[in-house]
Amino acid sequence: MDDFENFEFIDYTTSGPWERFITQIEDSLRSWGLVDNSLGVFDPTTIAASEDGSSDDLSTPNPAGVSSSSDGATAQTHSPKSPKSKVYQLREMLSLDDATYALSYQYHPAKIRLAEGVERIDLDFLPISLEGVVHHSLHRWTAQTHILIISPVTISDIFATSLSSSSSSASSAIIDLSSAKLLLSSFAIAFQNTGCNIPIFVPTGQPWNMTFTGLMIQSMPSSSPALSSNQHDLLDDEHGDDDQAIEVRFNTVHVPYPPVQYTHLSGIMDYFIERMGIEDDDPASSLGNHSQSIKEQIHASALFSYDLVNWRDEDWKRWGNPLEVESRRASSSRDRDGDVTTFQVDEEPTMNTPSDSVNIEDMKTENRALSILPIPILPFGPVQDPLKSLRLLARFASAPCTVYLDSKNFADMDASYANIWILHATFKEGDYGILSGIMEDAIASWSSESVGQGHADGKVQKDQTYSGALLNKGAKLIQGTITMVDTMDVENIVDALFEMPVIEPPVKSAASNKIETECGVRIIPASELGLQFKYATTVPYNSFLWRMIQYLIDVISPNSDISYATSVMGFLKVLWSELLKQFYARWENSLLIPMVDIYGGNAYESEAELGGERKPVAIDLRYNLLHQKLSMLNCCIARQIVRNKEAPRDVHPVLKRRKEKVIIEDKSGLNPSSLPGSGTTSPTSEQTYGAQFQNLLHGLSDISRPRSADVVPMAKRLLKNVKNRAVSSPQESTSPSPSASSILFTGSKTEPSSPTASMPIPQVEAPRRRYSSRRSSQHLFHPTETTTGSDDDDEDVFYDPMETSEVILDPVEMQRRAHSQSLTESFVALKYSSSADSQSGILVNDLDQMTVSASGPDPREVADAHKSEGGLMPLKDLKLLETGAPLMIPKLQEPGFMTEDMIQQQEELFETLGSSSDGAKMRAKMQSTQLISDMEAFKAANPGCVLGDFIRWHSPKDWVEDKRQMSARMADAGNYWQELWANSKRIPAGRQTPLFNYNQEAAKVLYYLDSLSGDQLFLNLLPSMFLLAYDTLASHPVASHIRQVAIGLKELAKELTVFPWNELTAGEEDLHLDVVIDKFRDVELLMGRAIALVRKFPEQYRLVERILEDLETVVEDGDERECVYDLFSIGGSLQSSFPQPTSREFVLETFDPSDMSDFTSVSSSSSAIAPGPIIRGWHSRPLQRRMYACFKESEVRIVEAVAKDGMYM
Amino acid sequence: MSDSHSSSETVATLKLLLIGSSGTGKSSLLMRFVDGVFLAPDEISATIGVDFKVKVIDVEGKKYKLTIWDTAGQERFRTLTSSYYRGAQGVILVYDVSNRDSFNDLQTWFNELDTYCSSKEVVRMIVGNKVDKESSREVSRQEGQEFARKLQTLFVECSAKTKLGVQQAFDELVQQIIDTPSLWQKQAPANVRLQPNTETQEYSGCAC
Repeated sequence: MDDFENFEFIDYTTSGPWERFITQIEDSLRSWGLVDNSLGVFDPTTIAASEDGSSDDLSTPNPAGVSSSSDGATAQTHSPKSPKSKVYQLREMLSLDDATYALSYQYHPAKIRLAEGVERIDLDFLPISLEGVVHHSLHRWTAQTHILIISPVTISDIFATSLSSSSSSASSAIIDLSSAKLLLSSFAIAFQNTGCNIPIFVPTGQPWNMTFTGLMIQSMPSSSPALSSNQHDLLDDEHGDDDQAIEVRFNTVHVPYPPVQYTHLSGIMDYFIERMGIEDDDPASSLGNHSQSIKEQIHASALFSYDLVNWRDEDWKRWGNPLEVESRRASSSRDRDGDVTTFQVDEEPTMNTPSDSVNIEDMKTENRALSILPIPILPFGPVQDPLKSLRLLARFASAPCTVYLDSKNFADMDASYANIWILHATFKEGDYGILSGIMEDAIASWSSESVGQGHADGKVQKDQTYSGALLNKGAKLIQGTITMVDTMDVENIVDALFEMPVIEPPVKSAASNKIETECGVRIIPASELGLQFKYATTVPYNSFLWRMIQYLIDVISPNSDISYATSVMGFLKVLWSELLKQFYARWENSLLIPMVDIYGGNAYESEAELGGERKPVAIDLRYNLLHQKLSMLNCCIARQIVRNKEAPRDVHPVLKRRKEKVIIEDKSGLNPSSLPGSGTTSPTSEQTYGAQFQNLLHGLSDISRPRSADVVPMAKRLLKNVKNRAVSSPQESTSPSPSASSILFTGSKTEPSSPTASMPIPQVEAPRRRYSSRRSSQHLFHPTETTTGSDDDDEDVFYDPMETSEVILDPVEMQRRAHSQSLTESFVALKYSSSADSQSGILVNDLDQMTVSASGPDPREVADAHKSEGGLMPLKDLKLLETGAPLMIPKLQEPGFMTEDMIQQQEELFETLGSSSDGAKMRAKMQSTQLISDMEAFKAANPGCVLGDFIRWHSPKDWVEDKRQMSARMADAGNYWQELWANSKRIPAGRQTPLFNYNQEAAKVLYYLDSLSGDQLFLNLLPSMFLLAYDTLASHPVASHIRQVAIGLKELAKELTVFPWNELTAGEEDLHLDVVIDKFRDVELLMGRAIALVRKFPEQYRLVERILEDLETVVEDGDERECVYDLFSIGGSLQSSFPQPTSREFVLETFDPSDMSDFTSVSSSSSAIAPGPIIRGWHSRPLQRRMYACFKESEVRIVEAVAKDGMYM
Repeated sequence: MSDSHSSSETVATLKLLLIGSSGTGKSSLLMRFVDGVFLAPDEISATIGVDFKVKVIDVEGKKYKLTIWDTAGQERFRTLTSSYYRGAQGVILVYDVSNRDSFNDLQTWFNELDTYCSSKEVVRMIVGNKVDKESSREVSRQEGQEFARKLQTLFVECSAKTKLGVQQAFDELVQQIIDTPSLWQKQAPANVRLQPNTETQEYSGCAC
């Protein structure tokens, strides 16, 4: 009710378009918070606060502050820490009459960053590009961080609209002068209404000229001086107490082909003074004087830019002393193709040795270049110089104009006089990384095969894109269809691998590979990193497989010498089949495989030297299974060598034959009760199961069922049988045995799941076959001929492991083969010596021997009850308890070796036995082989000994010296040791059944290697491929000099170590390897940049680091400056002098003299060196004048800002 | 390696390892922890090779299955036992407080561990057993502690006979393992394969 009284009509119906336009402007301004001198949404304080949570003290950078900051004292190399996308521009659409305008509020982050101390910011010349965004040029021209721009918009603009900065300049519509004035007036009104103090710019003239006229109204309420001083740092620091506005007008002059007098500082100085409107009463006499005194009031600062672009440097990758490299090049055979040179890995004389291994490789490359294939050096980095251009900014600090002399006749503003040099580098974007490309190619060739035929179509297209990268050599790569392999290439590699002089012991990397970098970031050498991979998935540094991978990757490297471009997979298959033949041959001829260390390097030297002869230590489980298998093969070969040396023939023929029989019977699934001598006593059948376990336990499974996966389920079933037996009657106990044996064979029927079923690559067939036969004859070794009862299938099995899709998998065939092996010779033509024949009796081992003991004397036993055999030396001065003879330490059997999969099998087997006491007993039995062997050897060496004697030697803690008796646990009658002791016979180690059947193990390894599909092979090698690629990067000397590179490598190393390599399974498409590869590419390209920069600025590593960090850096005085100077001198022009600047920018600043007399008096006192509000006249406050001028080759741009006191308007 | 049947209820299977010179009471310790009984030394025969026991324990409401591998201490069994270090997440080094030799041997065992353990992070604990034999003690608690500090391991004294400290020792070890997720969480069982869900996933630019 009361409301009605206050009710009031306001009539807006009469408001015109102009008024509505102003309202729109005001709305926009308010929506951005641009009221009452606020900076609104782009208020640095709020932005800064939201950025890193700390609202920094944004103290005013007063003119003094500006100049000090531009002195470059605060040059920082911190990384910009907020890469998140930030908004620098807001837009609103306005309309006036029919015309549409876009009003944008643009923000330049210079001051925030300055306040945060993030980096050096030149507030006089605001960087065009900051925080990764190109800002509007007006920021630089006017030194305003916050600006408003209104520009006309046409329909086409709306459609093509982009929020990119400086879009207003792109608008096609032109605002004529009167419209511009109208617009500015509108804003003047709007500014008055809102209290907005942000300058508005209106484009005038042709858009490409980028000419603007502008207006800023600074109303300064005295209520918040601190805030206002924040905002008006440049134009006005001091102001009167009145809140009368100051009006600043901006004008742009752009002259395409300027008259000569305006192309220098002196010219625009005159213009500047002229614009100040100082009337000179007596032009003739006093102009010079006035000018001089006025000039002292004008402060000038300048920025000269020098550009260096498009130079061609063929050897941009070259590292170090050019002369040295030149000589190397001459001797090296690998640098034939000129376009892509490898990174040279030699180091400068002045530098620390980056890595010994690199040197060794170099040496070898040099020395053996003629005889065998050199070790390839993989290329990396971008293909071409990643550096696009370099720009040098020479900054002349603010000083009275008289200091600088720059006129058309004479100029002393040479870059070398500039206070600060800033170097800015531009790199090519989205470069291609050679090494990461190689890795991608390798993986592509694998995944395209593993996917199989079904997806082949989809894959091919993808392959093409990748193979495109390989076309440097002009060869076409068609993956998955044809693999062309030159047999010579394969042969060369095989020769190189096997004939490489064995480095023994392998390079101990402890000292040499510790690459301590200058920057304190430690680069993990590849040899160490390999062990840090999350699973044992790598091969040792510089080992056989390592070298193989090196050659393999080199095959697809752009500067490879390989005849035909091929895929990794294609080549790998061919190479591997060749290597397999070599493995067989090595085993046949008792030659160790080179570079597969089984002696544990130096660490075990003392232990290994025990018998005067080096003994293989355990297989190193820290490396991948493939390497373990090769180690195993080498262990077998080593045993064979030892055995051949000893060559004892003291094996009783009777035994030999009997053993054979045992195996046959066992295998053929006959009732175990028919085992020789088993009929009489003891739970034989159970023991036979034990024997089967034994067989599993030591991984001595017959070659007919080499797949480990079959073992566990089988073991479970067997265990069940054993358990049943325990409760069942003795009669029944014999019957389940055939079924158990049949289980054994069903186990082998799971074979078809074997990964050997790989895809055939028929095209390779012909050349490979031909080649391989030639090769085998070379080595006087033709397995097919020696294979008994072999057929074509066998040949396939042997020759083409990758193609054995169906042949090998027939269980019947397997069985048959197994028989033929044990009956006659091995199917792989392994050279079984007569003694080795008897060793295959390991299958029934000790438990069987117990049975034998019950039936009669063992022919191997020491016949003479008092003869000591196989004793090595007395143990201290101990005497046997009963006879008093010295206690002899017997010669013992060497324990066997186990690879990871064998251990795992065994472990699984143990676990399936459960934790019951029965299970425990079974486990003890299974593991007692060695103990029995020890006991038997001990008995043989010590006639008349008792268990107590054995215990004193074997487990001294179980001997209580005081009471001269065994510990309670050993003395217990039910003790298993007692049982074993009672049953063990006097057999010296030499005549015992070997604990480790190297023949069978070797056969198993060879079978394993043979049955690996290309897929599995690749998976086994893939982690090492990455490690190798890492090594390529990490061993480059640049890594030890440039911090970013070191950090990048560290991150890469981390990436590699956490990658779940074990989860890579065949046929799995989504590997997420792209993460690793992307990281690789990043580091590789970064290194490319670093190397290119170091090449330009030799040894200026800190400078390079700073450029890499921010793309822009202050060049420090001294060496750095000299270095930069040299580069620009050479690169700039032919006469090797410093080039002409591509642009010269000046800023002139002064305060309007209000009163001439006052002005001159002040100036004559010459106290006004610093720009400041010293000039006081009847003007209540000084008004700033600023002029920005930019001279380029064919244009001059002048942007002036003139402040006028609103008081007098 | 790990079983599949109990994985539905247990969070993880942890592999623990008992090592130390012969006669230090590793098997007794294990039997005390798992079965809650103590057998006089003469009732447990010297371990041949390795043996193991299983126990499921509750930590913070979650079930963990422990497979604890007991090893023979005799020198001659080293090659056999060392194979089993692989994949262990926790290792208990046992010595006999009433036998100085067994304490002196610790360094050797420790070296062994460094050589054969697959993970650097494996949690190590030194346990001084047989504190019930206070009268014939040869290694003081302090010595044990100092050694453990030197090698940066956990340390506890216990007695399998009186069961003093046994439970605590295992609890602490397991807790430490659980607190180091990288030790066991990534240890995907060998039989677990990632499901090929390739259809839905964008195969972006890595290996194609």
